[in-house]
Amino acid sequence: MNEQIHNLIDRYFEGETTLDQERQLRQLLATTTDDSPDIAEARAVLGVTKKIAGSRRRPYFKRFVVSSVAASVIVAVLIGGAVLSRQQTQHPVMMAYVGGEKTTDTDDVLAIMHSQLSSISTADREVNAEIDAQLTVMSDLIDNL
Amino acid sequence: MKKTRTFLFTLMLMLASTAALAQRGLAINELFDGKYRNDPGATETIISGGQLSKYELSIYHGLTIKDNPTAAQGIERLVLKDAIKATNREANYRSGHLYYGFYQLLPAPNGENRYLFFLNGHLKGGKNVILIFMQGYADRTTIKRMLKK
Repeated sequence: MNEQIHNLIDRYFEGETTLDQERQLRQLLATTTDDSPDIAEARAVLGVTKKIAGSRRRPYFKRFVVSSVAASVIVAVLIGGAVLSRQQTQHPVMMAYVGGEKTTDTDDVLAIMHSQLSSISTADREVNAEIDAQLTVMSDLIDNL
Repeated sequence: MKKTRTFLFTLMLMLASTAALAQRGLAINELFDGKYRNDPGATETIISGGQLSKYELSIYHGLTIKDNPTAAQGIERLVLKDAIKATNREANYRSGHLYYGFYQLLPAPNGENRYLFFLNGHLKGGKNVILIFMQGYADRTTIKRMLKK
């Protein structure tokens, strides 16, 4: 095969090849593993790309590896995120920092929580009472029109 | 090569958005990052799971700051920033500042409801500023009922 391809290259550059021989030369250039200078030159002139089984498959293999790794990372991140999210909402935590001092006493922490809610509750009632009073005034005004 | 680059870029975007989902994404978060834990006038409460289940809540985060009107203004600014995206709100202003606010925020990524309470007692002769963040499946009615207890 090597001798044949070199002969065909010589004949090609001499302008002595037929169309069938040129077609044959193209096929040989595409499939040969020989990278000698005259073959490289012939490939460049004829615009033939080397199509060796291994080199053809490598990009696909590479893409497959990249895609697989990326898909694995995505799956791992999503699963990790879901697990983290569950842990954040399900793992019991009970603590408070009071004036720089940390306490994890359940009763103390709950007492602080209830105290905070109580203050909010008082404000909520005040605000709602104000709104009711304003609505009553408006209602009275409308009734007197 | 171009396809690989596009794929990697898409992957990075997905990772970034996943990371963003893992956070609560609220302006008030900066108040709960530990900055007031050593403050002698502050009380921070962190409760999750366990005791909160009876309220249908999974997270309770409360902050009370005493005798610090300056801090109150900073907290008000952050609360109002989060309040922009609130789906429900009850707010009361005094002297041009937020006195009381109850906001239902956009749900958390896991679907739980999020609520924010703010009270600036300085605007009515008090000494405390209180900020409470709650998260859970409790609806507004349940939250209001919880306050009335």
